Amino acid sequence: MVSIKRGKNDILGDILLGLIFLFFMFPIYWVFTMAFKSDSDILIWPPKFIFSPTLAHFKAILFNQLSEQSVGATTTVNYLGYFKNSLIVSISAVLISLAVGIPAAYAFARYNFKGRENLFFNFLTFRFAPEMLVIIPIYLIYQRLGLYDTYTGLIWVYQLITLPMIIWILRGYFEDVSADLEDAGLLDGYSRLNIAARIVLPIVKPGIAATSLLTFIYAWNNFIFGMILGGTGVQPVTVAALQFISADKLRFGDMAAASILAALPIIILAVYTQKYLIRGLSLGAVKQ
Amino acid sequence: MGAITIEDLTVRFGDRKALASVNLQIKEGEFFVILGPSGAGKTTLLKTIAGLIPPSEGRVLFGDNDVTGMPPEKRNIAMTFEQYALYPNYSVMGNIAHPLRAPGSKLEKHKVLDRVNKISKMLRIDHLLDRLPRELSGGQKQRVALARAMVREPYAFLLDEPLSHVDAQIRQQMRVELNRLQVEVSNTSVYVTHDYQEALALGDRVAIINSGKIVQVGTGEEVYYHPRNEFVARLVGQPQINIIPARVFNREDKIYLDVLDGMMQIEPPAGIVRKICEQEIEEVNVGIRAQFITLEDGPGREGSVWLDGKVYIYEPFVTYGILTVNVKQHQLFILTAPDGDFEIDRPVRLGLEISELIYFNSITGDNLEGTGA
Repeated sequence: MVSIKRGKNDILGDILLGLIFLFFMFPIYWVFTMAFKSDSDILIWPPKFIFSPTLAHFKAILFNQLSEQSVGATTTVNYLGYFKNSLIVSISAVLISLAVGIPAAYAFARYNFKGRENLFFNFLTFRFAPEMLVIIPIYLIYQRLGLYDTYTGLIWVYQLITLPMIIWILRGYFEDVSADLEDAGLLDGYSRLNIAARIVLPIVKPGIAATSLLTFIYAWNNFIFGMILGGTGVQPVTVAALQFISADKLRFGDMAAASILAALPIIILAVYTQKYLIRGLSLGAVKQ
Repeated sequence: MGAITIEDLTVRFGDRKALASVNLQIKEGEFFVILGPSGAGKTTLLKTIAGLIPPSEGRVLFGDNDVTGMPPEKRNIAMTFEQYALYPNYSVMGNIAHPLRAPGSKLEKHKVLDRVNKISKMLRIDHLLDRLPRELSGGQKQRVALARAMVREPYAFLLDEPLSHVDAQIRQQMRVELNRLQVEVSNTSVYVTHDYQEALALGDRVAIINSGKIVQVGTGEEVYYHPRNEFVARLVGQPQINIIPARVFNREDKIYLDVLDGMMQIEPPAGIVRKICEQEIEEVNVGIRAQFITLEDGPGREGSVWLDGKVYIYEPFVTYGILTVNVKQHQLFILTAPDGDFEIDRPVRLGLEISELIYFNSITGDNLEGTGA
């Protein structure tokens, strides 16, 4: 048996990794505990690590029951309605991006057309343009077009998030499929479209699924577009948490519970599809 | 089924010429082998015939029909790929039947099954029909790829290095089967390989390609015994042909070759002498294959010349041996009996069969015998 001796550096590395882990996990942990704390426990100093948990906040936001802790709050928030908005907007945005992005990614992977890499890079720039910078003009345009506070408007602007990701990641998957397979299909007497549908798409199906989930997560997590371009009718769950800040009271506990609920589907999805996600991401990263 | 003519075919990838003015005439029913080192343009040539790569210049004709602009799916060409290119999401059955189920082919269902069954029995893969490609060994994948090509009745078969990725044992067996199938099916086939043994064993004719240019076209014997230049001579044969430099000199109005600075003198045949004089050649490379060198005890036999050298290493291969001898700074390979016993550095005398010598222009590398391509 060969055992690899672990040096001092390895142990130091482990400690460092542990610290980084704590650093990043602590806010999540803190929000999680806040959701189960009573309002008085939340605001106490020094902070309480041991407390008697309560489900009051969850009841408050899910069933519109104002708990004892929320006494004094006058606004009620239809939290499940926002949940529905998030689902409609995120799922539609991903589906539309898939319809456009799959053929686009295929073309980027297979066809050598003029300006291909520039155009491809252009899609990425949508991701690093700061949303804040463009949101005001978009807001004004949306007001004029009547897209403000509509599902269509939000789904449309969400394409800035979802489409570049889908094109970027899927290109790697398509490049992974041997061109010989398509050549073989052509010689077997099939058209390119036919081959794409019968051979290429089934092969990249897991990749498409993973990419869709990842993209869905990003769409779901978006805050700024929903906040500025959506009124109360279509605002997503991420924005809804803001409503717990009212003139009379800061409902920290309700906000924490709302955040946990909003994150829950994403956490479940991410854990469930982790394997695919990593593969999908690394594929997109390695390929130029 | 039929003849393929390639006229002045040039393929450019950017600035690089993958194929440069290739001309070939492949006859109907011929098993035509394209032999060359990797990167020579073999696969490009095959894909251009199939229509997968559009030529920059030149034409491809099937019989009398110019197919240069015809899309691949209309050409009715069956091709196997070096990496098999089996569809991973289809079973073996689905893979083999795939060309028969194409939109253009209107074969009835039971006929498709009949054909697949027949061909898979022939290639002995009928017990694998339900499996997926990833559940097959390399040799089995290769058979499925062949079956997918052979299940049709194509104009021609194009086979791209079909044996290069299967183990030695299966390769030998597959070669035998390919030979046998060729006799049975007798379809026009273009076979690409970098292995000269495959080329000689399978090919009715062999085209040797280097850097996108056809160097020589001929039967196996022609390219082996009458290589057009040093490149062909080196490519064909194992162990590699021995090539030693010689200087032309004139004594009493006769032309001689001085091999390895006075180690040996050769009087070349009249035809070679004429070429040497015509082209005013000063240096010649002399080639001799390993089996035409013998070990001599005394002075060489009639019709042979000899060189003295020292044993470098002896490799016994059970049925034969290869002796490597250092003669000055040159290494020569000699084919010997398998039971040789040679001490390192032992002096040996090598007899060279003078009638088997091949003479090359040392600058251009061309065979002075002047064989036609």
